[in-house]
Amino acid sequence: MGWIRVVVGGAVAAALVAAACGDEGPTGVGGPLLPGGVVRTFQVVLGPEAFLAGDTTLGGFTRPAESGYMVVAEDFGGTFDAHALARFDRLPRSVSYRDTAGATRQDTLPRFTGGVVVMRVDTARSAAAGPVRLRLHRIAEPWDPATATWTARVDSAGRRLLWARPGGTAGALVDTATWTPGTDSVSFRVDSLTIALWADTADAARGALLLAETPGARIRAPFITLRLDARPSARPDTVVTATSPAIATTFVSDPAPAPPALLAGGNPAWRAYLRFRRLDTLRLPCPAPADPGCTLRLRDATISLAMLQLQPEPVAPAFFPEDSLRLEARAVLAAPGIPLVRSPLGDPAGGTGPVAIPRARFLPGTGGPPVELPVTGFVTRLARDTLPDQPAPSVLALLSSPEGGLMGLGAFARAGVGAPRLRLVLTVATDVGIR
Amino acid sequence: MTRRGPRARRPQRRLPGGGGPLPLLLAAAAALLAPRSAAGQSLFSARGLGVPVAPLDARARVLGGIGVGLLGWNPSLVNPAEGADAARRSVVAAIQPSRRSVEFQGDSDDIGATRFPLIRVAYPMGRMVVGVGYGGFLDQGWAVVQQGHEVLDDDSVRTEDRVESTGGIAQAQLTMALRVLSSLTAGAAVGVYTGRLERTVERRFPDDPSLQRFETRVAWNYFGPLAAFGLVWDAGGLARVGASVTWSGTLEAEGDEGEAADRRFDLPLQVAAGASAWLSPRLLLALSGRWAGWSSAAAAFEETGADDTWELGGGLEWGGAQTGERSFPLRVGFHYGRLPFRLQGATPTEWSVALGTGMRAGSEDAGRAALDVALERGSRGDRATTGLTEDFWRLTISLSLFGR
Repeated sequence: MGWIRVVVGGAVAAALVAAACGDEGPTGVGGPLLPGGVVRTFQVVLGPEAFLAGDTTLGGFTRPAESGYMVVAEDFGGTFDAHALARFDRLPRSVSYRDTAGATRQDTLPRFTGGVVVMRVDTARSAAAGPVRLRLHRIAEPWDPATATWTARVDSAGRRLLWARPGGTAGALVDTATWTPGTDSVSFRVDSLTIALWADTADAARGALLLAETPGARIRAPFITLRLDARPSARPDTVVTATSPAIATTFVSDPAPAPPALLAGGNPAWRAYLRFRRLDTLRLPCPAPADPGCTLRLRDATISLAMLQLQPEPVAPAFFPEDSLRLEARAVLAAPGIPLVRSPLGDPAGGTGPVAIPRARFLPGTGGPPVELPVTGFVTRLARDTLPDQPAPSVLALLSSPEGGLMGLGAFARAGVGAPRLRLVLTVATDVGIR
Repeated sequence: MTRRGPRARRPQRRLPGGGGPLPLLLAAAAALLAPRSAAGQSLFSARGLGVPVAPLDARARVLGGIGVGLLGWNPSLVNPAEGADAARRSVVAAIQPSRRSVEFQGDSDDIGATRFPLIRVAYPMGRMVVGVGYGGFLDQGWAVVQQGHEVLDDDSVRTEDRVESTGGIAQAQLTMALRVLSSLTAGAAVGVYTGRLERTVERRFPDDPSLQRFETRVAWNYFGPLAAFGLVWDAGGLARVGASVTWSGTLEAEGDEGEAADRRFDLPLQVAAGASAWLSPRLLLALSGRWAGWSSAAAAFEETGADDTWELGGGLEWGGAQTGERSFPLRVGFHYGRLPFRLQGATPTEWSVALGTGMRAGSEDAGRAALDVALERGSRGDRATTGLTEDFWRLTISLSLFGR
């Protein structure tokens, strides 16, 4: 019968244990029994001298050719010019038409007699005081849509060819048109010769150059296409429409902003880099009430929140952002031998999305409180880091999101009263010992 | 009520734990090794080294709550001389769930907890019984949630703090009881206090998800020596008087995690005495008391304060119904004592009344198992002095299994 006792004894014991092992929750009664201030949360705002070792601002992080829109501007803000360049696809190999019996047929030998370049306009992000006269030219020199800039028609590694005329060497004028603010497109007539030239894939100069004549305008165009008038060979009295989409678009602009401040945004995009000091050894005043002279190390506190405070500065009208600046901070994953400009970026430093800053904050004389960027994760790592062979990232990049998506940029003070500050919300526990 | 027959007759042919007690031992040991999931909880534990936990079975719990000088099977760890009652190999484990209604400054709440106050194995060897036991000593489990707010700059941020203390101090004893004379038994025990205390402080910001949760954790490991000596005098099976002295050395609390600083505590000398007698062939009376010199620890708790404690208890056991070899005794008792660590400047007290029963399978001499249950209703503290009161229901269940 020994085995029966084994089974019964084991079952009873297991049942007792199972019945006993329930989780017990805390009670809301008795909190006042704890000494006041066991857990304290307090705020510290660090000046740049306490946490910043240096800063720099670099540009050229995006290519207009990859941004998905074009910009045309003439003396916008007094100085800013931008020309749009587009290259269209080869001509269609066939067109569809209806014969006299009404049947749909394909014609492989159509004759293209003309066409229209249609440019869509982002009316919300375009600025002009009134109607803007636009000119469409053929481009007179070979150019590279991926690398063309205001001064260079080709600007790839080891090869740099300048435009004969900065901003794109204009060839023959194709057409002119006027865009009226509020309208969402503008069209240019294109003759058959221009269509034939733009269809010649052996010609590296083929393409359209679009520029504005009216000063003070900046137009953003997310889309451009070439609509063709085609006459089928079997029915030359009929005109049908075909499309030759743009296969490459870009824009070139001048001048580039000079960075007296921390810049973020624009296209080509700018980034501001902030190099932080070691924070693990940083000593801060103890939360009140505390003994005079009492300090604690930042690494001994839990960083509940870290916000980088940036003071917006007025932006020159030429670079005034067309929309709110969505700003974010990311840690720079620096590696030996890799320059800052090529260093990859980590996840958002605060673990959250970008912060939208209204563009009005960059107007002169607006003042206002600093904007705050969450950088809790970045600062927490920096405050905890002690391993010399695994240093935490110490450089923070400030950039717009999506990068290159915004014409115009944001500027922030880098020194003086508005210099970056770090607002820390810290939590510490005291007297959790045996009392 | 004799204890000699079976031990003298039965050859020692099996190792301890080779039969029925083994699974119980393993299961109970597993329970003892999992304190986090069954943390005891009393807000009185928030002071000093906590609230004393008596290493008793359910029967002793009813009959005064001291566990000294009890006629009959008494596996408590208070008096090592009473281990001589283990006529055969035995293993005992007790479990103690409780439910408390807490009230402080007009707020009230119900909380629960479970403890494992006792596990003990005894092995008779001729006139001597050796045993090992593991039992409770001090409970340090409690948890509090407190709502508050912090002012950051000009904003007020709501906070929710949770302070949780898990663990306690247990005692592990190696005991030996020797029948010196037919009516006199002496016992001695050596052992250690051991345990761990983990204290977690957590802060959340319920209204502001951008503020990261705060958590800090500190932990200590306890270690300290103890030795106990006890005597039991039997008056022909009609009455018994027992007494014990337990010396405790310095308890070392070694910081093991976080910013836990090492601490040392002078644990008290404890003196316990009790007696029991048959008032009639089926009615047993038990009375007992204990003094513990907790003021020895006062130096370590200047802010809280610690005082010597007195406990008194007693009870009646009636033989109850009997069916074949099974008996079902009924018990009633009381316990009154002071807790060692002050609260709000006052020394808390605890009282309880208890009702219990049990089941004995087999004769008294050749019993196979004993299941005892104690249900206590009591209270700790009072509004006038400590401000904190705890009314509790405490259930103790103990199971004893005996070898052949």
